[in-house]
Amino acid sequence: MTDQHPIEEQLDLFALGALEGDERREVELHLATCAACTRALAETRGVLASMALTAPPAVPAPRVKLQLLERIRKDAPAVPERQSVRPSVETRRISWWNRVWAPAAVVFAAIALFFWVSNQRLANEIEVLRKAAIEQKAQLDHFKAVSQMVLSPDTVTVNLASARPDFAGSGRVIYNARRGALMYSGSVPPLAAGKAYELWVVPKTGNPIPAGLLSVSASGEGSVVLPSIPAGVAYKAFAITLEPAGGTPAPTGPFVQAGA
Amino acid sequence: MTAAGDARSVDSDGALLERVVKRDQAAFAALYDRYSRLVYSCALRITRDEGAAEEVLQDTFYQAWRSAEKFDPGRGSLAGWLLVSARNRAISRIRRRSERDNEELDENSVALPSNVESNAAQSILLQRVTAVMEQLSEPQREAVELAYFEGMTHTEIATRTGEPLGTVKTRIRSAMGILKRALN
Repeated sequence: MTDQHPIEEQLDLFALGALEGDERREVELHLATCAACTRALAETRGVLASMALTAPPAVPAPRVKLQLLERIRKDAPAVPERQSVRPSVETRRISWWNRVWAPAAVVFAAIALFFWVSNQRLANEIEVLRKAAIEQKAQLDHFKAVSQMVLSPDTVTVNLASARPDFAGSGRVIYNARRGALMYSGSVPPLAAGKAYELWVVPKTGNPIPAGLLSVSASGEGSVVLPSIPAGVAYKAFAITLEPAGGTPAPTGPFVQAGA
Repeated sequence: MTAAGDARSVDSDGALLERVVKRDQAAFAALYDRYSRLVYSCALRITRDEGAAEEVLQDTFYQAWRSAEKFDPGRGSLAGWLLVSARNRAISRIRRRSERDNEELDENSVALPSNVESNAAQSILLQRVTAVMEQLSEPQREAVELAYFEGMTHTEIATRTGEPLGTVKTRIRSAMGILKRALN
């Protein structure tokens, strides 16, 4: 069977880790030499990985990040030690008094420095953890709000298509009018300096409502998450315009994407 | 700006990975911030134990740090790899399998149906997956979830549900077909 492509069901079960014994070994052998099945398996794994997103949202404790960063810090290549300064050839005559007290003073100073540094470090760590705990709570609240919006039965998805031939790209808006909640994700052309993409809710009556400026990644992924918009607005369409950096209260630039 | 929401430049996974390869810890922390919630939520759903989920989370990201140079964003999805890798680790824990029993997961062997580099993109994919899962019949959903979140083989699912093995296979096959058609 290693020369024959496995049937789709076998690849599905393999991706799930639910294939057993000889069947599993045969699929493994086949995958080692078949690029087409390897690609199909990658897509199946991706679909299954998407299921992980349905897990109830939870945010890890801030100390996990600190522990992880400490772990990788130990892995980081050691910074070469600075060359020690050559001692001066001139030596000073040290009195017997200095011979006794100078080392003791150095020891006391070192101990004092050690405790001061330890205290500072502890204080810094406590402050980092305190800030991280606040951030964790905010994140959890945010993702719960997102999750509630996404799972709400009255949330709609609207596809946006390119509105101009010279502006390629497309995206999706998910919108819950009752909650006044909205998110956009899509692809957009690179932004020129001094420009921004602005998202608009076009209501059934009245003027377009500004719904945030897109965050744009280097790879051209644009997004807006939960902008501040009024609740209870029945939409006619959603649109993105090209505006001066900072945005405008009403659209002035060309429409680059739109969908209804 | 009159509209709420800040426009800011967001580093892509690829740009952050390039810096991680050069041992940039800030870039690694940014990737952790981007995906730790997804990875942890998945691990917690499987293990139902915060301590175990934290270990899975940390081990998964540590592995990503160690093999950063093998990731190629043009071929595979970092987020997908993190999720599959964490799922496999978590399943190993609840099934008391050695992690060595898991297949070695190539860094570029997971292609997510869409980019999930932003919170908005993650939410939109979640909404799509949720909508598709609702299309599945209850037995189909149960079979797929037992396999994915409990790590059961089809024989074990048949035993658990009391259904014939062939029925379980059919349910998983049809559920996977619906998921793939809708998401890919």
